[in-house]
Amino acid sequence: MEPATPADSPLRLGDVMSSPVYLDLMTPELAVGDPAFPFDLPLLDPDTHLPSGAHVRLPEVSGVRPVALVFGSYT
Amino acid sequence: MGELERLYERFGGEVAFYIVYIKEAHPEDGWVLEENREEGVAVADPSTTGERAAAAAACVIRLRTAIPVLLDDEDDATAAAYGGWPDRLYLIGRDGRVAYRGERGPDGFRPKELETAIESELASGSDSSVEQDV
Repeated sequence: MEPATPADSPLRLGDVMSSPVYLDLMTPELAVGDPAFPFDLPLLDPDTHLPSGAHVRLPEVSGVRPVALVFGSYT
Repeated sequence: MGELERLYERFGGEVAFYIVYIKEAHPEDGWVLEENREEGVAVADPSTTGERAAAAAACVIRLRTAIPVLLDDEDDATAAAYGGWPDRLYLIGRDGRVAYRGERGPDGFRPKELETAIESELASGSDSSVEQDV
């Protein structure tokens, strides 16, 4: 069932679920046991909330300890 | 986020935690949710890393999360590889492989499952310096 969506919303649930762009973003290319995608992403500074200039490379972190990833956005 | 904060506090010393900030789930120029409007949450979908950083900052401040935040690139490559949109949980093992892949959020976003996966991953570690049979 579609969550409450205002009448002026540019897209609705049906649009998103039939969009190749969104389908790509919601469909994992990885399964349990697969090598993790080795991202290299900028880290937000915890104090200024601006890009810190530092990057996190997954292979460097996961080689030391397990890594929990929480994908999401504000909205 | 409350459950995740609890996991971060419990396991943060043994497990690296990252929020991967990805393409907005419900931007004002996409699929808008009434719930966000009511809470005053209105964000245009970022098209640059700078805009994404600003949205992530607003999110971090509002949710008061202590978990470090990474910004997905403008091409959304990491979200695409992990199928992270709109939200999803993973655990990567010390062997660099996917140890746990949660279902698609919001329905499949289950911190309890992540917690179980972390416990299992840590229990399977043979390089622990801590005696197990105390």
